[in-house]
Amino acid sequence: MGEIEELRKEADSLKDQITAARKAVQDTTLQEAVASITVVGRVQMKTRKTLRGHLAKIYAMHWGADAKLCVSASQDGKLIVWDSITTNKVNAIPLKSSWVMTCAYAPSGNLVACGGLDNMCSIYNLKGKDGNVKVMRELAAHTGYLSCCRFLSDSEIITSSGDCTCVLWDIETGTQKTIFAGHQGDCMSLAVSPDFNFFISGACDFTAKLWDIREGQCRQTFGGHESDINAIGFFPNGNAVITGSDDATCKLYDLRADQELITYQDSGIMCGVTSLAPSFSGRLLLAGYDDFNVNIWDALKAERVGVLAGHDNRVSCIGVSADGMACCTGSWDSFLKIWN
Amino acid sequence: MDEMDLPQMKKEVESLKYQLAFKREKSSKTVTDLVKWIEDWRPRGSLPQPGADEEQPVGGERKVHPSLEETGHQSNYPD
Repeated sequence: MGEIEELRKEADSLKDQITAARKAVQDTTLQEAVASITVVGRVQMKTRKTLRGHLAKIYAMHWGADAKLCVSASQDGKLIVWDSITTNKVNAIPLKSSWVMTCAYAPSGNLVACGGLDNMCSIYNLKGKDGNVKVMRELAAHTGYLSCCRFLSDSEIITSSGDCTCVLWDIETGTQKTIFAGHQGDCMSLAVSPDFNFFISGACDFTAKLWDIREGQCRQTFGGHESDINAIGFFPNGNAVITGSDDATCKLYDLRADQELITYQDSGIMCGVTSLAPSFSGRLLLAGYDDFNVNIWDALKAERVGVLAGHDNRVSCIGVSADGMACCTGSWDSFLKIWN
Repeated sequence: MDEMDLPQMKKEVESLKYQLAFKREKSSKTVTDLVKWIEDWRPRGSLPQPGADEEQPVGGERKVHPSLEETGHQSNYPD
């Protein structure tokens, strides 16, 4: 008992020192830096395409690197690869478990992955020699649901789980290369840095953590949210992190100065944030909410500058294409919509 | 933290020491760089136009943000 109490005191002292170190470098705020910048004008986007075909709630979507194809996962038990321009279904992959919560597209375009309440991450090869899409590997070791997964390459993938950990996997051998432990609540979402050296995780302990993929260490922890973090993403230049929470706010954190920069909130928004994506330039933040809408924020001025209204149920996922030309939303209403 | 056992607490303390050692930069530099990165961003293929990032329709309201529209390039999703 005594040793734990000593460690607890040491941990509290270290946290106080981190707080002090952050204050020591805070010689300006984002609000001060953008005081002379005008808010962007009203942003209006139209639904350009509606992707119809799922028969139940859509839980996740992810763009392919070609900015044309995207993959979606639904609790109808299907993973669908879509051509977002023609709206054709390129692949419709039946899943062993219909309780899917996440999906991902490999940067190469060769593989997709998904997982959920089966606690596994299943990898599918889209480019098999016989033309059939089959399970290539089942990554099983998590003791909780799979909340998110993202490929580093065709040979490595990172997963986040309700067991409070994230894992870096060797896809070829199906083994865990690194376990990232430290969160005190379910890990809900992850995002990989543009240079593929780091990833960030958001969890039900209300914190976001930045992890060094090769060293296996947590480099930074960001607090401030008052409820679960459901969504997380990197700012396009890799130097900032955006989070979305059940506390109805999004936050922007500066990685280099190690501190919170701004909160995106409105007294009229009282429901949780489910998903988020920054625009290609970083000036806009698109965030999906439980109230069926996507709010568009001026990321510098923290003002709401637009709304994407069109879904008939919760917006569960959102992504901006790799070329920045379009945004895709997925919803519990079973549809995906392409906007620009 | 109250629910952590001894090994977890030891790891937590080691992690906090590692996080404390992070080399933090002054926010006057980092925030300025962040804002400049956004302001200097241009769509692929377009030339920098000092003083006017995109056309402003009559009335001053921007219809579509340039990062979701490439100036001068055909949209993949025509009307």
